[in-house]
Amino acid sequence: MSSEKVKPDAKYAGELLLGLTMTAFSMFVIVEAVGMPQRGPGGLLMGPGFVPLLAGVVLLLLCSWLTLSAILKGGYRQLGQCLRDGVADVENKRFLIILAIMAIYVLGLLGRIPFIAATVIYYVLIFVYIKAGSLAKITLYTLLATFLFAFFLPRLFEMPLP
Amino acid sequence: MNWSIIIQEWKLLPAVALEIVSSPVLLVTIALGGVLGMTVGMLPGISAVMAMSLLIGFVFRVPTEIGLGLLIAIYVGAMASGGVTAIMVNIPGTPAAAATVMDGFPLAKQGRAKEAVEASFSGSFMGEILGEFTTLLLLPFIAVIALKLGDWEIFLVALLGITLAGALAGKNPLKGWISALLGLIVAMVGMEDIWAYPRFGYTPELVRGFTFVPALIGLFGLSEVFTVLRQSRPYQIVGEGGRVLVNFRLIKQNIVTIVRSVLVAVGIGIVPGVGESAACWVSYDMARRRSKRKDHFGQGEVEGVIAAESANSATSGGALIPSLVFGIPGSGPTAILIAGMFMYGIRPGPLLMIENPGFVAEIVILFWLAAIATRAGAVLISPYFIRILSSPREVLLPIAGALGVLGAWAAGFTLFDVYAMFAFGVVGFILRQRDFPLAPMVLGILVGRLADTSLRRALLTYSSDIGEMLIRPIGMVLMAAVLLTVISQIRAYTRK
Repeated sequence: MSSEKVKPDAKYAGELLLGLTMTAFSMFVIVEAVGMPQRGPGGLLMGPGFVPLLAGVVLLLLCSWLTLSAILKGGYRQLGQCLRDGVADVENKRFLIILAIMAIYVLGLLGRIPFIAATVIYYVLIFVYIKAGSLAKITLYTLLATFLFAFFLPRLFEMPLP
Repeated sequence: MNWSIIIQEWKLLPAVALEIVSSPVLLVTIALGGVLGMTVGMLPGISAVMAMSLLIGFVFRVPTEIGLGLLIAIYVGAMASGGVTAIMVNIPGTPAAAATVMDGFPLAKQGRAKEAVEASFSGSFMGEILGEFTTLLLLPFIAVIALKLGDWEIFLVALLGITLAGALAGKNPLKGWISALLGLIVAMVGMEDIWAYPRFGYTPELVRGFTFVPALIGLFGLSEVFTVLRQSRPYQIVGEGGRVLVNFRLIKQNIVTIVRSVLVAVGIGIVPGVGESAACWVSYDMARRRSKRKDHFGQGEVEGVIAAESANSATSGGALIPSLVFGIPGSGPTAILIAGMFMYGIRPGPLLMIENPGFVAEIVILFWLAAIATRAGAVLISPYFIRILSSPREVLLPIAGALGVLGAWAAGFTLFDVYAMFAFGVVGFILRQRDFPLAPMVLGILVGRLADTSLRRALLTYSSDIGEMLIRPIGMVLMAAVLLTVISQIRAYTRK
């Protein structure tokens, strides 16, 4: 077979990576499920681990199928290139920065500073980064959205805030 | 069979209807409830269940029909507008609107948002009207059949829903089923119901398990935020604005799909906990299989939106049957309705029709009025909500991100739910990048617990002779349906 005929698409490399990750996850589920106590007259069949075990085994089969077909389609050849492209991709960098802003809001600010202040910081950061408009527009969006979702709605539904 | 009890509610229907429509306070309450329901249904994370549960303390202070009318109107309004959010921003406002995303969102991306929303409102309107009508007709009879459904059949119905959702939600059934199984495993986390064993309970929060709302917001909401904002020029919904009416031309064109979806939805709605989420998928699948334009399904087919929406609204009728006849809630909102009934001293159960003649008819009339009031309200407010949801996405999506945080927080007032929402958002984003459909995962999370408990309870019941369980007639039909779905999908996939 000539190399021209085999042009593995980079998407199979991604599927291979995801397939391997999920195969590992399904193995973890199986091991955990087997370790759960066996109860009732049927032992494992009626114990708390039965359905997780069943789900884990079927997931393992399906993920193995996915992984195997990605390998057969040549995904392993593109792994290195796929990783390099992923790191260099502009949209991926943009996603990572948005993810970081969201992580700062959810994991860093919530519960540590007042909710309104955390929400204002989040809106300013994300609106500025994605260039949602002029400074005046960003200020307006931030104030309106903060008022609505960090002040009005919680009071309307009498909700405590983080 | 006691025919006098069976026809009692039918005979009382006109008198009850007259009594209700002659109460202006009740009519205004239903209209307000419908608008409130539409608003909460459109806001991802602020669910109908949440609004209803927050209001239940208030409704206790008002007369029975006013209180129940308000709760029902919120429910109906949220069911109707859940499809709007699904269409406009790819986030189902309610779990039952998950199948609406399949064709509704592609239609909106094609600039046909108004048409899709009209189809959604028309489908759900007819679903509500015909669903309750069918329920009123069949309630006494279906109750007898529902009594025969054991744990084994409930497990199989849940399994059928998961299998169908996995097979239908994407181009690749393998990825759909993987997604559904991931959801099922997520549902396994926490204290299980039979032996009270904390599965995967590594922390106190995990012992409690994942609640549904943060998972839904993360998978559908936050992953959409990431997906769209990742592109430097986020696409914008450019749907035509204007008033959304119930489109009778669309109803006439799709009447067969609507009637079929309603019948399926009422039938599935009877099964507790499964109905709303599974019915829309089953009806969607049937519409796709029978359509001459089946290749257009998933790419923006109006019939797909109508099938999903008429089914999810009609399910409320089916869900009423176990709720009213056995006191078993068919869904989250009907659980709150049952709680409301208990607060008013009405005991749902086999004796309901004897102790409270006309009550079933009253509930059906309230649902019908709520359906009408919601669509009347939609005519007035739709120009504004379409405009709001059509706002530039670089403004809308960061706002949706913070709203998702608030919605996840409101699910249990714990930061763990917010962290879970964030984690589901990242997982959802990664899966979306690799063309894994997310709706089956949501269904897996929703029915996972029910499937698990039902299966093991059935195995415990038939522990002496499992063969007896396997030859139960309804179970055999359901097993055949599951097997046929799996085999046909695998054959179709391997032929590609």
